[in-house]
Amino acid sequence: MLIPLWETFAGILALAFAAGLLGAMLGLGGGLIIVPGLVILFGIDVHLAIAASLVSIIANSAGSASRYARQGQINLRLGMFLEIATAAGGVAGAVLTTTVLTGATGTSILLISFAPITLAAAILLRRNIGKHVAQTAVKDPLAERWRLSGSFRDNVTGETVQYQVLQPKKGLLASLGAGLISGLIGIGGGIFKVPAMNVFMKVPMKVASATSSLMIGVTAGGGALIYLFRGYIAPLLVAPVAIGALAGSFTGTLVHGRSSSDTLKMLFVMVLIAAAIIMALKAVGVLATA
Amino acid sequence: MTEPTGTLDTGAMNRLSLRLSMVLAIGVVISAILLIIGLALIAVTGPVSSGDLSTTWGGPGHSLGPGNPVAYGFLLAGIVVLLIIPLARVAVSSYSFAAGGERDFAILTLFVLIVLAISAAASFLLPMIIAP
Repeated sequence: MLIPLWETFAGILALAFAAGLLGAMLGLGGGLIIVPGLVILFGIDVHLAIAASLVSIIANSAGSASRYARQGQINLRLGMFLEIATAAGGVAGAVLTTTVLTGATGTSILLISFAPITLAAAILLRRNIGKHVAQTAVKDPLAERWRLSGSFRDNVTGETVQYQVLQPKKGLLASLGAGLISGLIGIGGGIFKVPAMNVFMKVPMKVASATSSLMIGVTAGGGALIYLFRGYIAPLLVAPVAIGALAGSFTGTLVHGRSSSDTLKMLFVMVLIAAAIIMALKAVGVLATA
Repeated sequence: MTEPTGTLDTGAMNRLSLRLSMVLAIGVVISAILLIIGLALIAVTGPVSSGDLSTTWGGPGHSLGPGNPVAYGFLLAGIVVLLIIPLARVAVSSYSFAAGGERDFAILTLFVLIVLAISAAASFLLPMIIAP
C-alpha cells in the first residue's frame, strides 16, 4: 500500500505526546503507554515498539530533566546514588531474560509477580496523600554519609522545603527492581522508583518525580544502545515518537510546576493501577509482550 | 557515624545542575533539528509506504534507508544524538565530581558509565541478548 502516512504520523505523535506529558509530570518514561499503543493501534512489531519506546524515554528524560535541573527540582546526589542500583538491575534483567527466564513463560511469571507489587505501591502511595514532608530530627547514617538530603522550592506554595532522606537501602532495593523490569519489558522503571522515593525515603513527591525523570534516561539508555546495534531501530517510526515525547515532556514540566504534590500522587496512583492491569494482561497473553 | 563524603557545597551542586541542564538541552535541540530536517526531506521527496515505518537500520555497516539515504541519515543522526545524551550527562557528572574532589560520587557515576558502555559492547558480542 503506497499512501502518505501523515495520518499515521499524527496518531503516533499524539500517542507519544500523551506519554511524554504524563511521563514528565510523574517521573515516568511512558513505555507502558507507547509499547501497547504502537502494537495495538498501529500494528507495529513489538520489538520495534520497545526500541522506539526506549528512545522516547530518553527524549522524555532529557527534555524534562533539562528544565527540572535548571529549576533545582532534582536531587542530583540521590539520583546518582540510586542510578547504580538501576544500572545493575538493568544488566541483571538482560541476563535473566537470556538465561533463566527465557521465552514467554519466564516473562509472564515476572509480570504476574510485578502486578501485585505495583498494586501494593498504589496502596502505599494512596495512604501517603495528604502527608507532607515532616521536619524530622531522625537522620539515616547512610543518607548522611552520602549527603542525600536536600531542599527545593515548591512553585505552588512558594516555600523552600527542607527534607531528610531516610531508608536509602530500601530505595536501592526498589531501584534494583525497577532496573530489572526495565531490562525485561522496555520501560523506564519510574513506576517503582517514584513511590519508593516518596513512601520509603520520604522524598517530596515533586523532587521524587523530577529526580526519576533524570534517572530514567540512563535506565533506558543501556537498553536502547543494545537495540540500536542489534538493528531494531526503525528511523521513520522512532522520529515521530521521539518528537512527540519531547513536545509532551516540555508541556508536562509546565503542568508539574503548577500541580500540588497530592494531585501528582493521585494521578500516580491511577497510573499504577492501570500499569498493574497492563502487566496482568501481558502476563496472560492478552497484550503483546517481548 | 562515618563522615559525610564529598566537598561540593550547595553552590557547586547548583552549578552542576545548570551544567547538566545545558548538556541535556543542547542534546535535545540538536536531535530535534536533525529529526525534523529528516522528516521534512521525506515529506518533500515522499511518498512513503506503510512498510517504511517498520524498516529498520540494520546496524553498523548497513545501508541507511529505502531510496532516501540522506533523509534517513538525518533521522538516524538525530536518534544517535538522543542516545548519546544520557552517556554525556553521566560523563559530565563524573568529571564534575572528580574535579570537585568527590571521589565516591565520581566512582559511582563512572561505574554507571561503564555499565552503559558494557551494554553497548555486549550487543556486539552477545547476540543472545535480544531474541529475534
